[in-house]
Amino acid sequence: MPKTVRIGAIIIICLLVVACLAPVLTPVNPLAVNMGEKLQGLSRQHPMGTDQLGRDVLSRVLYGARTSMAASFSVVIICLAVGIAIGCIAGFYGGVIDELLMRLVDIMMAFPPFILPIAITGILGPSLTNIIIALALTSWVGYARMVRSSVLTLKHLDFVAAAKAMGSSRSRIIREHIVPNAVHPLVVYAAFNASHTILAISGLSFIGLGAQPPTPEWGNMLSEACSFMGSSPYLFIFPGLMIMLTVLAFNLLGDGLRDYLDPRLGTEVDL
Amino acid sequence: MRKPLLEVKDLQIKFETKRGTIAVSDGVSFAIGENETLCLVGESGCGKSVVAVSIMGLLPAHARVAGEIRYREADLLQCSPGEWSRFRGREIAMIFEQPMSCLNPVISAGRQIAEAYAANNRCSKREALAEARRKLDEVGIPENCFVKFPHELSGGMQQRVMIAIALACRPNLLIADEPTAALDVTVQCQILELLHCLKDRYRMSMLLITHDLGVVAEMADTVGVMYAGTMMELSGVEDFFYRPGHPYSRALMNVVAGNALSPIRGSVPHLLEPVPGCPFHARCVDAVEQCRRARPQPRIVNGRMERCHHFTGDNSGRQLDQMVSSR
Amino acid sequence: MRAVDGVSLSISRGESFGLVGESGCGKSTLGKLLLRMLEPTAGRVSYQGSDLGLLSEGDMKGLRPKLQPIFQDADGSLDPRYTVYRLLAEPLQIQGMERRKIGGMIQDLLGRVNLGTELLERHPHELSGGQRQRIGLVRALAMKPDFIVADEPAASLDLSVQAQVLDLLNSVRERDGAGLLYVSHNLRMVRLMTQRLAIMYLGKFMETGDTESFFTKPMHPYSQMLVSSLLSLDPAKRRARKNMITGEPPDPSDAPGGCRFHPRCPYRKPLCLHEEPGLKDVGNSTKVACHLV
Repeated sequence: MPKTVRIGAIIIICLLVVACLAPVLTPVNPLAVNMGEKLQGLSRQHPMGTDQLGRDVLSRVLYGARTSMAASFSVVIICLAVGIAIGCIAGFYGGVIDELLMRLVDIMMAFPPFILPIAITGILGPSLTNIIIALALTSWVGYARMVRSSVLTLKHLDFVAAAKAMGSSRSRIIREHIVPNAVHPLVVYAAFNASHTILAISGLSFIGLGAQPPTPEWGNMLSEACSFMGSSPYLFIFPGLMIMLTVLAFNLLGDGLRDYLDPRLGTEVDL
Repeated sequence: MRKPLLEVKDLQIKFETKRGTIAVSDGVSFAIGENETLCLVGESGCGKSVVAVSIMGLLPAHARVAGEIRYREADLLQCSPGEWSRFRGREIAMIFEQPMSCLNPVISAGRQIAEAYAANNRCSKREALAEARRKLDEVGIPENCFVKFPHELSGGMQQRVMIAIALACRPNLLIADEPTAALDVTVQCQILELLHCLKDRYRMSMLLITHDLGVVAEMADTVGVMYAGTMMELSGVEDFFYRPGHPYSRALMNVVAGNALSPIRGSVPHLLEPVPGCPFHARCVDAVEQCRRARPQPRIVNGRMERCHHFTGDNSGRQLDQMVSSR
Repeated sequence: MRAVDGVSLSISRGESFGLVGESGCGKSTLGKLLLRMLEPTAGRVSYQGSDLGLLSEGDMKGLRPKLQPIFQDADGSLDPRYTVYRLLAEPLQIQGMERRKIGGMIQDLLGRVNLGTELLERHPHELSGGQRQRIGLVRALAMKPDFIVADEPAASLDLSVQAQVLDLLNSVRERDGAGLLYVSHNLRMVRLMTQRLAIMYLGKFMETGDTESFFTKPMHPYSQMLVSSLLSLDPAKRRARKNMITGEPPDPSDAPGGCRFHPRCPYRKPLCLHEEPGLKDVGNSTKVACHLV
């Protein structure tokens, strides 16, 4: 397994552990306001300092992992489910069904990726759930297209013809031969999509459309830190570093998986 | 023997890979005289293409080369990359199995030939194009194909364009790597005939790499049989076909010339797992204990080289004349 | 475009029939039609008296195992994510074999093609070309087919391994009495592998007949061209062939009128330009589509 996959996976697992165990790891309630301790620098008691309302930044950063991971995983899982289903149906059955589904995909693709979430939160009101819905709505099309194109190539390959010649049923061919081969490239895409989603959620929260204060979320922590940039830089450095680390981890994972999951790569000696 | 044009002596090529060092060519020696054709025969992965590429000086960076590649007076392996590049195209040219992947898809056939000519000759664009037209005619491509793009040409025509490009600068040595393997049998005959004619017209020498013994019989003056990176046999074409010596050569001949299917047992050894002793021993019908232990050294008797413990120069009882001529 | 045009043939049990032609002549398409991997526009394919075209999808599924293709590119015909074990278990499972018998059966199958059980956990890309092709072959044989279409089964293999694969194919035909359609452009192998053959050109049969008599006395001008393109293994006979190979394999989407072969035919007459010859029986169980025979 490539080193990049391992590093990426370790960081992501750590983040997941932190997200799950946030209440245990942080003795201080991230929402607890203590005006008496506002904007205190780094100290033993508050390793990452406190913010303008005296809340513990470390606790907020750790709880932020919870929000970010949950949101990005929800988006990716929704997209995987919808994308694989629609891509397989369109690719395997073709004809009118394919035509209709692909036009739907084209329509979704026509929306600028940042405008749709803004419009949706405009209608449904700003909240993390609405952002997840909005991001899922814009992202599934990529998955569906990718699955469809793999299915289209796969269904003309000889091994599918061979399976047919064995007397395999259509559902068996889809289940055993087409989906496994079509899904593997998708895993890579999903890893990159997760990193993209983290950035999008932070970005939208930063402009006030995502997670609403006082929910600890890296994006809105950054936006709150803006006013204190000069005096208390640690307020934006830590959430910023976390965003960077998470995005980097997903990208490393995606990159590594691309090499690792192709069974044909790196085995033939090219003479 | 006349002074050879190209002489390869004890060529060793090793590739450093993640999974260890592999010897793709181990002690390969041969010589090609003026206007002579040497065929390198062997199965995939036997190292024949690597030998060809090494003569062109186009091996990948992780290859380690030792030995001697002498072209006329120059030892190519001692040349700087700049000096070597002066041999390419002008003195030594190469054509490949898949012409489509060697031709630029967005430039017309005629212009590609003209460019190859202009690259090595000082001339005006007009002269280069005129020369390209002459070359096109010479390799038997109809006039109207001059402006066509590679994908508009058939496989045979593409290969003709490749030949025209290779011959643009009148090389003395043409290396052809499986030039007809991807073509239909009828087109194969046409291309071989063309190579024959061009070779005689320009008094070229040719190094032809193939796995098809029919092509060898058609083209070769000398035959080199490679197996697992080693030259197993090097002999004149008549010797090779009428009195095949090495057990591997005989087995190959049996496959194509026999009256029934006569499989060779086993499979080609992988270069990553070198076999002790003679590389062919596991598949050889004549293998004895010695073959499993010691690597046979090349022995030369009556102008014929063989790497086999059984080889003494006496070929009586090994004749396949009758079998060959009966087909 | 007509890839296959008005072709009739029958293959009986235990018989090996060769289909020869240049690339693009429709020989692979014909092979697929016979297995109903493609649907013909018109015409009939019967297997043991029943018209495959009239069978329902479900009935066809039951019949499929009896009609097996063997592909040229074994690499593409084996699912890259399957291990050898799963590749060979799949047809057995579909046939409804009990799980505990499968292991033993797979060992049997591997033994038939001289492969060891150490390959069971390998993926196709970890096998050599010859091993892959043998796995593809044995997987088809696991279904005990009555009829096999082998489309250039050895073309991608090394010479020394080719004979192994073909030998195996032959022994199956002889032992199990399966019919074989052997599609190839390698005349030497066709001669060794088949009893009867058909020469195809632009979707039509130009000549059909006995393999041996075809090689000793090809009748159709195209057959003569093909046979003369067979390179001799005698260096003394090099370049001896009369210079009768003309033209190039034609573009199947642009077939000429009249006899399809007339643009390349050295003997063409005015009649050949206008009228398409049908297959005529010329005795000796040979049929030729040529005005001049």
